[in-house]
Amino acid sequence: MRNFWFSLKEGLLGFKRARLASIITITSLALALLLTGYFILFSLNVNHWIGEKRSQMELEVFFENDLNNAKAKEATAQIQQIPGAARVIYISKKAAAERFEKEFGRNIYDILDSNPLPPSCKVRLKPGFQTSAAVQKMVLQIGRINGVSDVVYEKELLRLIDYYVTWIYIILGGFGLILLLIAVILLYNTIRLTIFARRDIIEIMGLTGATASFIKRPFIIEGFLQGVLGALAASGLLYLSVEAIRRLLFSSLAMQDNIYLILVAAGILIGVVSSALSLSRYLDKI
Amino acid sequence: MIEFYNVDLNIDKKTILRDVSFRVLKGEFVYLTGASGAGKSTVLRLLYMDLFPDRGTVIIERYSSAKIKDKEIPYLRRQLGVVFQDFKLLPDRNIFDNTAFALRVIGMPGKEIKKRVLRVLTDVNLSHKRNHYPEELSGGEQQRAAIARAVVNNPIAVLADEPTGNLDSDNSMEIMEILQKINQNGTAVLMATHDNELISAFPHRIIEIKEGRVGR
Ligand SMILES: Nc1ncnc2c1ncn2[C@@H]1O[C@H](COP(=O)(O)OP(=O)(O)OP(=O)(O)O)[C@@H](O)[C@H]1O
Ligand SMILES: [Mg+2]
Repeated sequence: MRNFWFSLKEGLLGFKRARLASIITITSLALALLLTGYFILFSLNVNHWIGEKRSQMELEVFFENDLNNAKAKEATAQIQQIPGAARVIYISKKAAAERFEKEFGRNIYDILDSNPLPPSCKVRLKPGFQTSAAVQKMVLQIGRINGVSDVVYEKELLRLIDYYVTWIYIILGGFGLILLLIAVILLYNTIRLTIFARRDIIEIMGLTGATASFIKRPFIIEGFLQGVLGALAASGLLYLSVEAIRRLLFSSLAMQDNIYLILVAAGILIGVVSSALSLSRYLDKI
Repeated sequence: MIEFYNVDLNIDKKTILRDVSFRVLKGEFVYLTGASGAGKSTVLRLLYMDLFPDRGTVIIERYSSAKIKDKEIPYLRRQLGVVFQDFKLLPDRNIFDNTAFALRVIGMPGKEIKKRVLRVLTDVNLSHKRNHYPEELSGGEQQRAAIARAVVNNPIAVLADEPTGNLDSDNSMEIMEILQKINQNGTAVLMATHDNELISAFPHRIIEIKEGRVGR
């Protein structure tokens, strides 16, 4: 226990003793984590945007023009039963005519003798059914229902989303991995150098009868604190950035608070693991 | 207490020590002499087990080079006080903390550490510089601080590798007097040196290393 307090104190003092090295380590950690944070934020928003596009997707089902209201409603109820159908809104011939008037400013009966607009319904899709393949299957099922004449949806858009999404995720994932790798290598090297600069101290401690773990502990605590401080700085900057973007660019920027947690966890992990790995080189003899 | 039995040591296929045997008794003061490159520092490194013999055995009290485990080496080193030509103080802390370090590694309570450190710093006439950093001290003062750290934990032996090598003759004399005093209090001293003047001023048994062997 006494050793623990000594290690803690030494770990904290390590900051003061190697001030410049600590500042460099914390700054580069903060920058690397901030960059990672921006990247996660960007990916999150891309994902969010794709999700939004998909969830706005709807099928328009047109019934046969002469289908009466009761039959059309029955068909609508059947459509509601199809797996993947979320909210289904029925639009009667009359409602379609009203919508026409609203949109074009003229009553359809002024132009034509009878209402040519068929009854229809709009089908929202449940999450998980917002892909081309799922939609095509649903379209087939809906087409088999009596009274349905046509199903219309933004086929091209959905196909494009499906096609590019895979690529977007692969690119984002790959880029994120490379970013992470660079951050880890950069920080591992920074920390390794700060420990290399103190290799004489480590050697002297060993000659004085210190065990490897006794020598290690303050360095690990120092690495831990550097990780925490770097991550807190990165989180603070990320938070300010999010607020600024929301105020100045898009108010609807998506953000999840657990990104901050991820950054802190990553900072601690990088700090502790880099310190431990760098130390083992100098301590394997003791 | 300290024993070398037929020790051979090679580094990179070069023979450094061959069939070296000697012993140092409890409380003895012994010089280790020999030309530069003869292997004096190597003998000391074998003693604090920074190196291990290729053949033969090194014994310090209950520790044997043949049986010691890596984990036990720090405990062996706590029985020894090591002093070097280049002092090897910790540059990042003051003289008090440098000396105290040898006691912190054994987990001694802070109060006790303070008492003991102040006492040895007084013994080496450095208590007034306890808050100074090594770089603020002269060579002689740094070496006295290193000796304070070496003896603060009451070792069975002090191993000194040319402790006066970087010092002028006045400072060398002062260091020798401190080592003498330590020895008189019952701690063995094994000191590597090639300073014949010091040896004749403070005569003790000599172990000479010549071409990797111990002459008799
Ligand atoms: N790490 C090493 N690698 C290769 N050779 C070494 C190593 N350490 C020591 N030697 C060799 O071992 C021999 C003995 O070296 P050692 O340092 O023990 O001599 P010494 O008697 O202490 O000399 P000095 O009086 O100059 O300090 C020398 O020939 C040296 O070149
Ligand atoms: Mg030498």
